[in-house]
Amino acid sequence: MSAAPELQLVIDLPHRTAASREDFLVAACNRAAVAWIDRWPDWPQPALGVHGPAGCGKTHLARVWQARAGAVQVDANDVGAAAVAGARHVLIDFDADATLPRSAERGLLHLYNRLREERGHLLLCHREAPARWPTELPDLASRLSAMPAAAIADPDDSLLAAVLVKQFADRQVAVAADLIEFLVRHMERSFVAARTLVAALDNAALSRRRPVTIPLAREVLAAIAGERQA
Amino acid sequence: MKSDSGDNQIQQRWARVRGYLRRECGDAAFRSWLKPLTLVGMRGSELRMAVPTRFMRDWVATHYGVRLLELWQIETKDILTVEVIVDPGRSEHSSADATGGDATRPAEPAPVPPVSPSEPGRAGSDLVLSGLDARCTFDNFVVGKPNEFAYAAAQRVSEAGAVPFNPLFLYGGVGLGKTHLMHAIAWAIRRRAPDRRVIYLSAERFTVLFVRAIKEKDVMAFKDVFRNVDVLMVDDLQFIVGKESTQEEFFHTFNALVDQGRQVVLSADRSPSDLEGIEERLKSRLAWGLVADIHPTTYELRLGILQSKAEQAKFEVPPKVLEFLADKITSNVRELEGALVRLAHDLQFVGGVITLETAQEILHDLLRASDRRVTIEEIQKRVAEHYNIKLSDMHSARRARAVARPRQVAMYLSKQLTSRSLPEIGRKFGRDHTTVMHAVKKVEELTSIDNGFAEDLDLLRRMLEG
Amino acid sequence: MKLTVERSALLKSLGHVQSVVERRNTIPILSNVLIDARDGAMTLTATDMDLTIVEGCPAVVAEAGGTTAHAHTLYDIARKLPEGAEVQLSAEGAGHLAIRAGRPRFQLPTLPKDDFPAAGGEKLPHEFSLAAAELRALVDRTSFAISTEETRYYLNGIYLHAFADGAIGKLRAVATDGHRLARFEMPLPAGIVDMPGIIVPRKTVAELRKLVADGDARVDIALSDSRIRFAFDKIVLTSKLIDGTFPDYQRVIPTGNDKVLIVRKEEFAAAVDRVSTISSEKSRAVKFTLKANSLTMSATSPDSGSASEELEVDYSGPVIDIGFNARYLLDVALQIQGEGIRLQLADAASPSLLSEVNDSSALYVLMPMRV
Repeated sequence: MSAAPELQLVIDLPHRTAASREDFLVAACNRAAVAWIDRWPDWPQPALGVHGPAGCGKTHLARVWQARAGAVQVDANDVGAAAVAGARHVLIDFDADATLPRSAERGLLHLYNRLREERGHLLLCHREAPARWPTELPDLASRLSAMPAAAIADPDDSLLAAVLVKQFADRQVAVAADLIEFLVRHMERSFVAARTLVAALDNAALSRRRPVTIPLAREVLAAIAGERQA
Repeated sequence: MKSDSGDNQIQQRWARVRGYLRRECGDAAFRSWLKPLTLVGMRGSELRMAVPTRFMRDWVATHYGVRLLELWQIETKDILTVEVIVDPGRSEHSSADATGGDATRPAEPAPVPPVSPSEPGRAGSDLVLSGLDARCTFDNFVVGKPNEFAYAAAQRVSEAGAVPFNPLFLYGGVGLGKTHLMHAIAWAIRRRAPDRRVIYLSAERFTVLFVRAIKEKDVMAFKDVFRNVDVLMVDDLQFIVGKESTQEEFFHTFNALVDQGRQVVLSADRSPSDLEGIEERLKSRLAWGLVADIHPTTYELRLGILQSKAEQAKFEVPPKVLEFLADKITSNVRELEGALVRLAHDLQFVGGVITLETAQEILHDLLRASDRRVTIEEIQKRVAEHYNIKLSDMHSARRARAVARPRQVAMYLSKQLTSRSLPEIGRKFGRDHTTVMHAVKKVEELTSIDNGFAEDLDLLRRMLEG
Repeated sequence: MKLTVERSALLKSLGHVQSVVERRNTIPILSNVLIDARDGAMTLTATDMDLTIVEGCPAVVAEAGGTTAHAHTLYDIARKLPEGAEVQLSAEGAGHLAIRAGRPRFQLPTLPKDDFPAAGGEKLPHEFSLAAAELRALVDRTSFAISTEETRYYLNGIYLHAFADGAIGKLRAVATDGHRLARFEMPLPAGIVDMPGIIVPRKTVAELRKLVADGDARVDIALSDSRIRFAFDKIVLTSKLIDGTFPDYQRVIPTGNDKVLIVRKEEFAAAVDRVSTISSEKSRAVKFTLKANSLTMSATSPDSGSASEELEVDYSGPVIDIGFNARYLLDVALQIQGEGIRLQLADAASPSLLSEVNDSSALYVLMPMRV
């Protein structure tokens, strides 16, 4: 597009995401999930499912638990190998839209059984509750439906604000309180929107050599809304 | 017998394992439970250890069994199982055992002669350490019409001195209690006849161990373990289907045990004759003894299970909630118990109160097939219908209370039930985001002072969430 | 306190210390310079709380003692006193500093020297030294890329860290503003063991650069994870470090840029400068069109017209169009010491690499502009 203004592209500088238990923001929508992680190893069953929308902190919680339990992360496709032998505690953290492959159902069932026998634990993180996974193997389906599952729901306003602050902090970008309030009132109120918005603001500020302010936020929000309509 | 160096090697390994355990468990626990543990020796791929009392054996098995196996497997991959036996006489030798070679007793009695359960020196009962669930006993099994036959059969097996029927074949749909009954048999035998050696494992585990034994050229030891038990229980036999060599080995093990008059208990998700892909000769053998099926649960049984589990856990649940769960979660017992566990978690660790509403919220993934994403348009339509106003009034400029209040309710619900931004919600109502914020505040105020309004709002929300 | 100092010595020392003092201060004493006279010498101290400079100045001390006075005013006075004058400083009683140099006489208000912030005596466990020329190179090759956006505090300085390049230890200096990144490396000075990665603030870098403007004396450097000290013959500069995490820059330095262009520096810089005359003042965008052995630079602007210039270069890759900010190109060209510049490109939206043809000690990453 020739009409677009000349735009300085920016170096995609990596940032570190703080991911300790202390960094996890507890709110009404995730309290049950956090409580499950915190009460480990006092889990009444060999497995736990944590599910919720993209960006809701599943992976963060999973990492906390993984470190605490010394669990090994296993790819859903390799679950068959893990079922036979290996770590006592296992984490399977599904990517955004990934689902359990049919070919892995049996492996997951045997992994579950092995961990039950060895008194180990399995943490499953997925967008959808395990009870709702479309599984063909009845033995697995019944275990998935019976395992404790904790949902993380969409954030309320206060958590959304906290999530924004944490994301800016991860990027070492200083922002004012009124900016956060402005964003909460004007943005789509979801975890994933918070993540894309903060990244877009960071990028725009870096490109224009400006601080992250309300006027900049207004421009960026308008650009995001424009993209969605297009 | 192995050479002294082999003997020394295993003693050195044991010293390291002890070191790890002491560090991991702390001195106090180590002194109480682990110090009396002594090394007996290797038998094939099985490592045998002894403690002076049965109570101690159970404690060590439940608390440190898995860890012991893990630590030994770090030392050597040759070890597949760790057995802890009761041997009151051994504790006197413990220091000698722990520090070096023991001239009075071979560390590894190899080659192992076939042993009978009554052989002197093997008085302690052997139990493969493969996590029996302490909660799965006969006492904790809730009996009802659908499972009473299987329950009675399982009890007979656990009581009998002689073998009443061989094999006992339990079958039924998933999550109905087959595994529970098998664990219960193992616990009961352990209590009543500690001398009897019991192995419980899944068919999958059997396969894994067998394949590994072949790979490591150690089939003799494998056979030795499985053909010298008093009771062999194999769970989920359907998973042996299609694995020919494992099936073959299982068949021989099965025959050997039955021929020797040892008890075999099997389970599967279908009857022997329905097990496809299993050889006919094995199929017919499986049906020789008693075939007991477990039927799907009835409402009464489900309610009974829920009441019993809640009582055991000292978990106070309103009867209405239990009835609701018994009515809604009909698939199997496992899911029923899982639902109860989740409610208990919320009550105990999240500080919730269990009501019909909160139960539905917590278990929404079980009770509803999917969560619908509501749109602002649907909300506007439903709210307009509910208050009997025109849909067009949702974005009209009219300020009359009769339309303004429903409009505010719709805005409030749009904020609660969608993730749309406030300006976007405002646009759908022909207004800006400050109007939405005002509406949200207003509705929140009203719900706190007007019960009728609050209930109305709740009803609307439920209808929308479907 | 009573002392006599030569005007030129005073001017030189004040010149150093006054530039640390901020123009605007909410705490009055921070506008002042601390003058301390004892044992036949005078020391001047100034600080902005983050950065502190202490400088010794030869003087004849008649009466030991100390006071503080407004740094910029004192500097202006010293500047305007006649060359070669002997300046007498005396603090008589409370509240005044008298300055005499023959006829000119000044009286400045003072604040008690005890109110002046004391320097922290923190341990600085990592010590090494660099020659002034090395420090000049380190600062010059990188400091132009430091971010000036104050809210980007973690980019407001030069990141210094030890780096193992195979078996060879290197000291690396890195700066970036998100548009470009400069990396300079040199052999690891003796004495550095387990040095933490640190970010030296922009202002400290600027003051340091003034102090190493000429000569090749060695500078003793000592640091901890929160402070750094540069010690010269008569000057000690101590600075807080930026409390932030420098990005893992190594991940953004491209390794697969296969379109390589070699161009003579003088021609390149002159052409960029000429063509960018037309570029808009704000973006300074210049478009490069590369084809076999030819680089055409062009700029168009709705208000100013258009310009283009073709250079003969060493290039054998495919045709590519890419835009850059002319000022960034010139900043880099200025730091290229040799004759030739090597430019390594991937595509019009990915980071480009610039370096000197015969010297790999400095490396520059430049993000293109969408033009």
